This record gives sequence, structure tokens and C-alpha cells, in this order.
Amino acid sequence: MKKRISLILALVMAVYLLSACTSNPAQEGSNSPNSNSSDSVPGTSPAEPVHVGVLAPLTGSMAEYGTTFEVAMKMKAEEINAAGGINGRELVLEIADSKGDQNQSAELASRFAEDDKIVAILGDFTSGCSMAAAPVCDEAGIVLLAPTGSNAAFAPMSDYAFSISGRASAESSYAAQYAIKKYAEADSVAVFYLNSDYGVSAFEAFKEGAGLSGLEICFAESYADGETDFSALITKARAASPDHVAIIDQGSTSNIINSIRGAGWDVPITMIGISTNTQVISLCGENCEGTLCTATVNFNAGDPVTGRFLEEFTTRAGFGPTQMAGYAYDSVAILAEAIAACGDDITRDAIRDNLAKTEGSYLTGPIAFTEIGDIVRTYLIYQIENGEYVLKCDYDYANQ
Amino acid sequence: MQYIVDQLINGICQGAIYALMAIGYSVVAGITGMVTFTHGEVMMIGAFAAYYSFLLAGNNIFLGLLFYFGASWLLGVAVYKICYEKFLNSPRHISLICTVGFSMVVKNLAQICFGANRKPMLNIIDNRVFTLGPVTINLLQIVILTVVVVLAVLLSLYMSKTRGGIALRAVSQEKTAAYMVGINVKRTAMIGNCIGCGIGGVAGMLMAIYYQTCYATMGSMLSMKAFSSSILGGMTDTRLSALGGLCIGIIENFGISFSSASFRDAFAFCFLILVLIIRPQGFAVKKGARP
Repeated sequence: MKKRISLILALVMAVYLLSACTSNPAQEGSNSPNSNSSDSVPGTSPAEPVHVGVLAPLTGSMAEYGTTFEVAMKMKAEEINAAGGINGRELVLEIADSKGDQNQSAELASRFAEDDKIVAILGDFTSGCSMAAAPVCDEAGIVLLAPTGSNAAFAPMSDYAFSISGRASAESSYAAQYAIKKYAEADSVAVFYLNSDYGVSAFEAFKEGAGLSGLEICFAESYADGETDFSALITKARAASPDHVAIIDQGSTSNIINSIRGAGWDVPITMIGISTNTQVISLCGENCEGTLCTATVNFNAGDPVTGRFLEEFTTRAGFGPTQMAGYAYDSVAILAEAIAACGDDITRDAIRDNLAKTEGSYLTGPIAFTEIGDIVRTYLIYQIENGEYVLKCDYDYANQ
Repeated sequence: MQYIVDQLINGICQGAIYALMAIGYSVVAGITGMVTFTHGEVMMIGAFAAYYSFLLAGNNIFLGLLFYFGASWLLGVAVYKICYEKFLNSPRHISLICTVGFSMVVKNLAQICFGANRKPMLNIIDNRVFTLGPVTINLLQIVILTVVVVLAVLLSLYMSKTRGGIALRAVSQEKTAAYMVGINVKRTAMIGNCIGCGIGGVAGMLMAIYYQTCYATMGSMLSMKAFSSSILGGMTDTRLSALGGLCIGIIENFGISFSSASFRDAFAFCFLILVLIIRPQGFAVKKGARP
């Protein structure tokens, strides 16, 4: 009896686990040969749903960003479907878990590319993963729209690669020149940056920006992804006695801030790459008071558009949105418009051409692609005061 | 000078956490005679248990201790029942693979149940910084060092002075002989496993407090460090494992201070490899010590 019960329990657990892992895009039976990019995509006759593949790190160390993608994209897709879909056809997002792993991302992208139902791909979260998927998509002739692929080298990789986050290089260069040198009036800065595609390219641009404005970088050090203990690095940085500290990261920022304050060091801090992330405030509390950051959009409860997004997203996700949520949301919006512009004859190439022509204002501001498929964004400077992000400098601060 | 002392303190503090994990690890490995890969997840569960107890019951570190100890003890029972009990006399790799699988299940279930994002740990200890001559140390570091030392001493006393502890050591040394003198081996092995897990849970809680955050994947890399530390100590000796953890912590931090933080793990593992080449038995003195 005991044995039987435990067997049933084990079975239930196994089924539960399996069901948790089936965000797999590989559809059995789609064994027709890979369609050429210029062919009309079969299986998408009117009234049938339009399928879009999504790559996101739903599990693993970047899972919180994967959740952000999932929630924000589904929100937009539901809105589109509630408003009648794409020319009357339902928009279906097929979300696949890339685990933040580049091999995984490339593999899933090629499965999407081979699946004739999929007309375009959104994702991945990190620049590294997006860059791993880009050659696959280029070969298959399918659009890869990366909401957060901010590495300057990503969009030029292929005609089919698009990015709407603006280049990381532009943001970190801006932060060095205007947030740290001009606004905080610092002369020397210590930089901690993540040793990743994103971190290294952002740091290179930071150096350039610092050079332009005469800001001295007296200490710069990278660390591996997943690092937990920063005390040794902080002691080292402190020995260089900088006026200011810049942190270029997405996952460990709060940990670094806590460690700096825990060591009794009250240096001013600027966060780069994390925008107005409310999780930092909840993770750091008083430790992050006075910290500066750059962002392209801020979700303000009083604002009719961003306020509604803030509320809806927070209810669904259980935490507040970052600008990355906004990018994910907008990426679905512009892709849906590009698909809609194809009319009844949806082909992967037509989507690419329409997407390149995108021009308009969206949740995260104006979006219009450059020749190579990324966009140039302008930035805001925020400071944390009493546990809230307070706008300090508007878009035109650079020109003042 | 100041700089070196600061880095030494950073190293000792991180080493102390590694040491605590390694103690738990070698208790498990010593008593069940099996290698475990669930230790990181046990620490993660300990951290989350502490997180929820602080959330529900306020800043009461003793209640937290009780709560997380219970949680990691229960997990210890589960690990024992699922991964060890049936395989005590089977080849060792069976239970090893079993613990690898179990750790994945726990990690993914934790992501589903607790959510994937990082949770902020409440500030349960007022952080104050003390300066004594060239030495700067904060209260948190003192608390961690104290907890580690106290736990290590308690464990050592329990193992050498009490009946239960002696039974544990008997099981650890020779299971068949322990049967013969009337020790309930399965039960004792389970208790030993749970004590190891409980200590792992403390390490998890301390880490969560030290870094003020806990998340579902926090255990994986650290369990590798715990594993290395206890290999340095010869796997089964708790005191030497603690020494191994301390060494790894200090070596890492000095390595970082003279080169780059990207090489942290490289320093730890190169040190491990070097020691193992020169002294394959780790720090252990007795050559015949059980692996």
C-alpha cells in the first residue's frame, strides 16, 4: 500500500516536472522541408493564428528577466488579440526557455527557423544569446528582434537582426559624461563591470565617454557572472580613493551596493544598465539612497500610459517593471504592426522589410531603426531619494 | 598594510562561510559514506526558510535559527530517504547520480515555488563598523565568525562526548561492526545526514544575511566550493575541512587583490589541484583515512 502511494506520488511529481519543462518550441510533425525565406509561409492562411517565437531565459540565473519578458510580451499580445488580432488573426507567442545559455539560444532559434508556422522571432534577453542566435536567423531569413540586445555588434550582424534598446555603448558613455562628470561633479571614478559581452562593450564606451569629458578612471575591474562576494574588489577599489563608483551590471548591482555600504564606504554610486529597477530599492533599502542611474523611460503611477502599464505589470509579475519590460512590450507592438502591414500574404521577408520601416512613438519613446537595425535613444538621469526614483535631468540635459 | 589586513579579513570571513558549508559536507560524507551534490540546495532552502521566518516573525534570529534548522533537517530526511537509504550497500555512483538529480529537482521546484527573482533579506543585524588600529571589521563579519566557531566547537563536543556522537562516529568508521554492537545504522546515518544538512542550512542563512539576498540558484557554485574545501580536508574530517574552507577563502581574496576578480574560481581550484598533487590525501594526516 505504502509502495503504491509513493509510486503514485512519484508519478504526479514527474508529470508536474515534465509539464514545467514543455515550453519547447519543437513541434512534432513539422517535417516539411525548411521553407525558403521568400516563400509564402505555409499553414498561415487567413483566420489561422500567427505564430511568433520568443527566446527568453525562463529558468537559470537570469530567470527574473525571462519572467519580465514573458509577462510584458503576453500583456501586449493579449491587448492585440482583444482588439481583433492581426488583421483578424490571433497572435500566438511560443515562448521557449533559453536558460540564458548561448548554445541553447542558437539551438532554439534554429528550431523556430525550421518551423514553418513561426513567422518571426523575439529575443533573446542577453546580447550574448541574441548574438548566438543571429547567424542562424540570418541563414534562415527570419527576423530576430531583440528587445534588450544592447551590444553594438548585434544589429550589424545580419539584415534580419533588430534591436530596440539602443546601444549599451551610448548609455554608458552618456552616464560617464553627464551623470558622473557633469551632474555628480566627480573627477575620478572606480568601475565594476560584468565580464560579459554586454559588460565589456559597455565599459569600452564608458572609457570613451570618460575620455571625452576628462573623467579619470582610477580603478576598473571585471568579475565573472554569478559572483557573490565583492568584499575583496571593494577593498581594492577603495585603496584607489575614487570620488565616485560606477557599476555596469544587470544582476549583481544590489549586491555590490550592499557590500560597499556594509564596508562603511559612503562613496556616491551610479548604476548603469539596470535603469529604474525597483528591485534594487527593495534589495538595498537605505543603502542605495542617493544612487544615480540613467534610463530611457520611467514608469510613473500618475501617468496615464506608463502608470497603467506599471499597475498591470506589477499585478501580473509580482514585481515592478524595468525599462526592459517596456522594450519587451514595445517589441511585440512593432512586430505586430510589421506583420499587419503584410496584409494576407505574410512572409518572413515582408515582415523584415516592414519592420525596418517602423516609425512611431511607443511606450518607451520614439522608435525608428537606423540603417543597420538598431536605434539611437536619449536618456534621463534619476536619483534614488527616500526609496523612490526621482527625475533629476530631462532628455535635453546633454545640451544645456 | 591596511590594505593587506582588510583583504585578510575579507578572506577569513568568506572562508568562514566556506568552512561552515564544508563542515556540513564532511559530516554528510563521513557518516553516510556517500558524496552529496544536494548540499547547495540544502543551503538555499535554509536561506529561504530564514527569509520567510524573518518575514513572518520579525527580526528574531533565534526563531530564524529554529525555523531554518527544521527546514533543512526535513530536507535532510528527504535526501536520505530518496538518495541513500536504498543504496547504502550499492556502488557509490548510484546515490551520487541520485543526489545530482535530486538537487536539480529541488532547485527547479524552488524557482517555481519561491519565484525566480532575488529576494531581499531583511537587515536583521544593525551594521556597524569597528576600527581597531589597522583592522576594520563590521558587526556582520563578527557575527558570522562567532556562529561558525561556536557551531564547530558544539559539533566537535557532540561527536566526542555524547552517546549519539559516538554512535555516529562508529557508523562512519565501519557500518557492519556498528550493526554488531547494536547501533541502529540506518537511523543513525539519517540523523548524521540531517545534522550535516542542518549545518548547511546555517551556512545558507548566514550567506543570505551577509549578502542581503537569497535566490533559488544561489547554491550551485557554493556547493562546489564546499566540496573542494572538504576534499582539501580529506573529505571526512570536519576540523580539517573547516581549515580547507578557510584556506580557499583567503587564497581567493588574495588572488583577487593581486589580479582580477574574474579569476576567483581559477585561484580556488588551482589551489585545490596543487594541494592534491602534492598531498593527495588533503590535509589529513592519517593515510588510511576513509575517502
